[in-house]
Amino acid sequence: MICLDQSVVTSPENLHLLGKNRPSSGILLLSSLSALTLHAHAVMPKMVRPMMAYQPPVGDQTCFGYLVVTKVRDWSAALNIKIRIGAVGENEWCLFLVLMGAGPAPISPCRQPLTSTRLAALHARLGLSKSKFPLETLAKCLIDRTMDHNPAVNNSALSNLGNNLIGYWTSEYLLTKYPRLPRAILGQSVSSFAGNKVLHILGREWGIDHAFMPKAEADAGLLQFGRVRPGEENWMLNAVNKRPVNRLKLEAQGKERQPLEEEMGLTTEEVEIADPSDKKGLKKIVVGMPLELAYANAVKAVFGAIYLHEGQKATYEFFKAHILSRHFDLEKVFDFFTPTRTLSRIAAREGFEPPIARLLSESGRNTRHPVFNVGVFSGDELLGEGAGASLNEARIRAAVNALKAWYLYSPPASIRGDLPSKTERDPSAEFRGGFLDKGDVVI
Amino acid sequence: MSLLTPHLRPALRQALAPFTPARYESTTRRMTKKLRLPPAASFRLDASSPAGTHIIYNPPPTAASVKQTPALFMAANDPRRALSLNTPSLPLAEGQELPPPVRKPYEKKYHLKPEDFAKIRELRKADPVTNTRKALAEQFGCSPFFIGMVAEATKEHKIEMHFKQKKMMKRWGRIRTKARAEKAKRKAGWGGADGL
Repeated sequence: MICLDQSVVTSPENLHLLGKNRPSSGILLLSSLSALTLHAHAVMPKMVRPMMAYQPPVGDQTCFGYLVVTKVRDWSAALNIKIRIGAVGENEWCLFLVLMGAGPAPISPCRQPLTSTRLAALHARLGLSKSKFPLETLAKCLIDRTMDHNPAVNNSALSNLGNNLIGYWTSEYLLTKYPRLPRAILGQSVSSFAGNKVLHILGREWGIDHAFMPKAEADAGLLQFGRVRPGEENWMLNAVNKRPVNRLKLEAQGKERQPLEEEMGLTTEEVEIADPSDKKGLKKIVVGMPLELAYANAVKAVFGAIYLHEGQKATYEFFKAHILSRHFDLEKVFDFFTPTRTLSRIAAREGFEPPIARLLSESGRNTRHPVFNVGVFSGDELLGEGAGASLNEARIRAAVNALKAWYLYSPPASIRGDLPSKTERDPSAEFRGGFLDKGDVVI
Repeated sequence: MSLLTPHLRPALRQALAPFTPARYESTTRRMTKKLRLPPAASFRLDASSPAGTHIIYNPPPTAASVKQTPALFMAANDPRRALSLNTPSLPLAEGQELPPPVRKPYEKKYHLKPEDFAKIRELRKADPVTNTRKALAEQFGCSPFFIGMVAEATKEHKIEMHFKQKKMMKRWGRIRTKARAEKAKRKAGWGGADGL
């Protein structure tokens, strides 16, 4: 790729030079803001729910996964539970004693991963590995950081890992399949394919249900998170950005800091959990989380957890089955600001004949509802066709369709490159590079 | 002015043609009969049609899908380049010309020198009211868009023009205001945002 000096290109004195057939004019510079954002703009397409196989609904009592509830009722199973849990807290001892004393009494739901039918059912429904993927990790995936601020207990680390995996695999898939996608479109496509909205729907489809205002004894199979307070718009910013600045300023002035509780409006419990040695203080504490985001984080955490327990290969299979299998209409994402100019620039860069709009057919020119059908030609090759109620509309739509055809070019399997992550899953595999585009044009 | 000037010809033809009511018939029966269309050629059975049950493929006319990449846009080593199947090309008969262009095609001249750019900027800065984009474009033989690229109007002039336009828009009535707003909305979707 040839790179131009950005300051040279974008300075007003040199703008007129862009139109000329100068060497390397119109070649993408990744750092150029205008190339990335000005002419193409992504819109969120309407999402269509995919057709999916039947899945048992949440709490379906006919589906216990492989958790056989009767086993828990006898003594040996109860002992097994104790051994697997490891650290024994007060609650666990209570449960243990209840089990010992009451025998086959029904178990009350509490944060005990091994006694939750919902959790076991979810584990089975997702087809997670019985031997490698423990139920405790799945329970951890369902605990949001707003429920428990301790990062050792909540899903924040797992969800961060899952987020990176999903983002990386989705973008590499899209770029390998459609190597000419502009950056704005790619970003929007990734979030339409596997963004928070989609992952929320996915979590619902998996049958994850959430607890309303959960306490510590909530069923481990429920998604647990703190609600955003009514009317709280900047839920993410509650003291996130202000806090470190104020603190430094106060320290520089030699003043004593306010008690954390007062400053943050947090309860004592939340303050105690935060690490006081951390310079940034309580920066990352979020008190409430929107439902959609809590679901998305849980789903991402499941991806991260599969990666840790079952390895990358299994995670990729899971990713293919749950995310890449979804229908996504890429052509609906495009929205061009200057389609005709963009098309001319592409034609000039690639050495095509300049595109000319030609009137293919028309009907009712002098009526209230005329229809014009215009095709954009380069030489005698038709690049795109568009219909509209005015000549201008048809001409612009034709240019838009030609641009979509250009950007949505997908090389056939025989010349398509391998996914870069292929060699990560199998280090001995051979990697074949694919079609690389010159990049976006500068308008 | 002669009656045979081009813009009068259709009117003349209409005046001389025998009277035929084009839009409707006087009775429902005649109108229905008039609107009755013969079936499409592909639906009609003839001697060459298959004898048994068969599928007739006659899709409605639609624009080509953007997933069909024109051969020109394909990579040099794309095997589909050789097959013209994937190209939405027009079947042009021997000697047939391409359809007429929507706008008159023009060649870019690239005739302006750096001194001209300096002069354009100077003129535009000195008096943006007289030296509009259009006036300068005529003077220098280029497009108004190009003038805008070379010498943008000053900020003050832009603000002034903005308020002038606002003042003019205030005089619009309810119907025109609504029509303009709707037109702008429709136009905003042409780039692909309307999903058509």
